[in-house]
Amino acid sequence: MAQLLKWAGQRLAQICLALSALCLLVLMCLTVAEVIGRYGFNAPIFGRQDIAQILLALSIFLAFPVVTLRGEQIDVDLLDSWFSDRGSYWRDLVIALLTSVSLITMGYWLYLRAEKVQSRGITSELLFLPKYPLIYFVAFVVLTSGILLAFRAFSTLVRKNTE
Amino acid sequence: MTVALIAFVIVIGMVLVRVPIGIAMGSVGALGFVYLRDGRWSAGLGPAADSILDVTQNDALSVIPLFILMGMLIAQSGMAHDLYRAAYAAVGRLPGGLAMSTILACGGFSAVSGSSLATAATMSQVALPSMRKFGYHDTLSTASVAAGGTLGILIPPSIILIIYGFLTGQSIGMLFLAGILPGILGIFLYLCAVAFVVWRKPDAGPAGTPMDKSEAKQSILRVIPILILFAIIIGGIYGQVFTADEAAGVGAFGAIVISVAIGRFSWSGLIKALSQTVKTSVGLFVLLIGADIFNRLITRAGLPDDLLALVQGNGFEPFTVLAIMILIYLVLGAVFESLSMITLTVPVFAPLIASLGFFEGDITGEMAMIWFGIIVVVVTEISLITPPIGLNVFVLRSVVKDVSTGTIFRGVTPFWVADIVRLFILISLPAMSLLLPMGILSFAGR
Repeated sequence: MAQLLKWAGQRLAQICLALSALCLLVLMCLTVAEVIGRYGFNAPIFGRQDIAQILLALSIFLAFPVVTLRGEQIDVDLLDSWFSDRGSYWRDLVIALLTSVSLITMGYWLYLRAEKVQSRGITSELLFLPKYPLIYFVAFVVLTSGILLAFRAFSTLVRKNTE
Repeated sequence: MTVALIAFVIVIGMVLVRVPIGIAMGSVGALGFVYLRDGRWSAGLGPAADSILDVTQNDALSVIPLFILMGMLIAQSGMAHDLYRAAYAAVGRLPGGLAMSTILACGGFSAVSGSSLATAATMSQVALPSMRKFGYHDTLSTASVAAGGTLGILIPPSIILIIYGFLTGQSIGMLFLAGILPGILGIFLYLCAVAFVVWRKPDAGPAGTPMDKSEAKQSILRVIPILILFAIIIGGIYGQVFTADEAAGVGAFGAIVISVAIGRFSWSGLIKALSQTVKTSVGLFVLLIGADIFNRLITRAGLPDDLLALVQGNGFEPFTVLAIMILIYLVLGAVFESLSMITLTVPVFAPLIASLGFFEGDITGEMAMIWFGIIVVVVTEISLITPPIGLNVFVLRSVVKDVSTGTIFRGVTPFWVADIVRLFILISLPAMSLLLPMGILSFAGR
């Protein structure tokens, strides 16, 4: 079971990174097309900004859970040598829990924002695309990342205690 | 002010025990806001949620992943070797020529790769073997790589300048233009530092074997496409043909075209570059979100205003304040890596710089902020090679295991002095940074 979960997690991470990379590639092509359209054909792409905003957010949040769960956020490891193995273990656990509480809290508030944006019918400026689906997506990603991080921290703790 | 200072101490404490800096700034910022609003959760967490959405949906910030992608693509196309060969063709036959080639190649490579640590790691593999073959002293060979790696964080496109622009609301294009001349000055002074070392000790860096003419021509021709791409990006921004984020898109696309044209394109390379780019970008965006939330707290808590009152109350001169800030950066630089240091300090220092009125006449407050951005980045560069924690020195030490950290730091001293000279020039001659941005403003009739 644990093996299967690990395999599924790795595949899911690969898919998320691939989709995130695809959004970035499309964003690059869109930007180049805008410049060429503007100067080559005197025809800028209408609503490019709206689409660019969505692509940027998708690209960041599709990769966000992978970076967070792999512990690849920017940090300072200056005092690492001060911690013993045991000390590092407890420190990492506390950091994981703190991060997961922050993410779960923010995920919940983002969900509330999405509800508000949906009820007010807020749309993008040029293409009038509804904004709430993206915010629900961001809320889902942030919340899920927090829950998975907490789950992993607890399972590590349980495993260590049973050993 | 007390709340903001306590928040600062807590963030620094959290960062030192390895809490990711974006998470530390974000969580302390949000909770501090809740405290300031009498425990109303919605008043603290609502703005934090807004920060997450504002930052990640700010299309001008697409400049970050697109420039990182450009750098990754160019780095993968084996450009580090080409740049080194081209620089060698130009100056390799001079005394200390291999170290000078290293400085030039480091400047070029770190400008496009955007990471001084990656440059130090890559260039040590490219340049050190040939310097050792020619009998260069370890002090000069390792120090030229460690110091050369710092050049790129100022030469545009620079991720640190983008982040400074975001934190202070300044134009990224203007900051890029302001970085060009100080960047070139940095390269020139480093070359002078090499010349000084070989003048004092000629055997520290003997001249290399001259390349034959056709080989030299070939080597220089190989880097022409990258120089053209660089010229298109900077020329495009200067001529207001496109914005910084459009320049980044064109740059990344151009890097793909170049790698296809020189026969070094591979799908696996593209996928690897994209995957590295999105992961690096997530780290930077989390940092920016954390900084945005924390900024709201310190502004709300009135720290910038209180600091201004403190400075004016004590009758400090603007340049005294600047000197104190530089000292703080040099001390912090011994502990924090560049991005963390800048996201933590700029929101506090920048409003003070804006209010103090450094210049009279043509230099507006906006231009003073751009000048300050360049000063901050140069000080950050200095901190990367300052003992005892200069990060570039340690990166190099991890690659070159048979040279002691002390040897590298000893070798770095002339480069460090060159950096201090550059800092003094930039402070006393703001025109060095502001000539190009002010040129474009007068060109646009503002």
